[in-house]
Amino acid sequence: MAAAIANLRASRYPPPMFVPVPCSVDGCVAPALSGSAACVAHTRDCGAWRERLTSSPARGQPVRDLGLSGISLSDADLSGLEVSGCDLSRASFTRVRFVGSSLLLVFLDDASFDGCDFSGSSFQNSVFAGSRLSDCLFTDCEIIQCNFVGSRCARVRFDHSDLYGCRFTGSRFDGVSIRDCNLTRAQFDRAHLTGADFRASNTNQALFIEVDSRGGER
Amino acid sequence: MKFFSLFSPVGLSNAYLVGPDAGGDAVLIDPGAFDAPLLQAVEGNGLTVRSILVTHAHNAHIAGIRALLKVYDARIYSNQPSVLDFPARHVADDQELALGEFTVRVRETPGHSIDSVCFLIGGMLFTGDTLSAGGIGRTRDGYARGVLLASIRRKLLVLDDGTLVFPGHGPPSTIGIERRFNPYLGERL
Repeated sequence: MAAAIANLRASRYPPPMFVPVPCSVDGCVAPALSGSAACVAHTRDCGAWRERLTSSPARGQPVRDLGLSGISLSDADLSGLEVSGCDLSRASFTRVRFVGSSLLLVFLDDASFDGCDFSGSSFQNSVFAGSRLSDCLFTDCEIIQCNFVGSRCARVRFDHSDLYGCRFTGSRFDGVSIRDCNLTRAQFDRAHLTGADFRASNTNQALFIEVDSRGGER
Repeated sequence: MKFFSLFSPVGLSNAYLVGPDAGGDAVLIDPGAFDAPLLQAVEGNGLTVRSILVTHAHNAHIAGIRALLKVYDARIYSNQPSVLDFPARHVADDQELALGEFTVRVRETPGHSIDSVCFLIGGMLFTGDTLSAGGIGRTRDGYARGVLLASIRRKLLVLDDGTLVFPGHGPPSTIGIERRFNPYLGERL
């Protein structure tokens, strides 16, 4: 817990944070991609943002303050990626490796993650609310004060991670493993935790209210 | 815009610092502590705290103000200045404050406390203890809970789905997410 608080106290987001700009197409309410006047659905060539994202770890340059809502990426290795202050809501990631990555204040609400590997990564104040995660790895991670409200997690492993202050309100788990985790101030109120495995985690420091935990272990 | 989120071990609360890109007059929301990380964020980015916004006068959100006033000549904005130990300017519902290069819009949201307000700066909503990710503020009784829920529905849920929510405790969220997934907002009054 001390480490988590120390990290939170030092949290600092490189300026400026993304500024949502609506798509220029009449009637479209989706946010425009950075560097484009249109959203991902109305942009013909999405190669620029893809190149910027995938080449970022190799160049050692963090990705900052970008609006990339709705992008999709598959079969890529983004290990070591550093992202801060970005909008990746409604993004789709399939079989993407994010090993040892850092995500600070990144909005990934309503995104989908299938077969992604975030092991050894650091997250702070990031938003996964409403997102769908399946067959993903979040082992040995620092996931500090992140928002998983309303998320759906199937076969996701959070083992050996620090989940200080995370909110899982109303989320749905199916076969999720949260073993040996720090759950201090984590909240699982009104969550459906079917088959969740909390063994060796400090569940006494977390908040469980009106939880459906059939088939789970603590 | 420069934006910083700072965690205070006093009350385990969030403070937020908003400043111009080029440095200069900054706005600070709910300083629960005045400590080295906050000082570093201000001074390290060429900022000066000129305005302090108080979402409500609970200690976890104001404990840093007295020390801050010894360093910065800042004006304090609160819905109930009389309950504070230092001079503050009164803010009311729908009021617009021109603070440096920022326009701050005030939304009165009583319920968690009688003086609770939220501040809207661009697309960023600072909610104090009124609304948090998947939760609402604690209330002392059922009547106050009803007042709080009515405040949230009338003043906050009318904002765009993409409005970013930065609460006094816990992680950030968006109005759209809270509208869809916050289980407490569906309660009948």
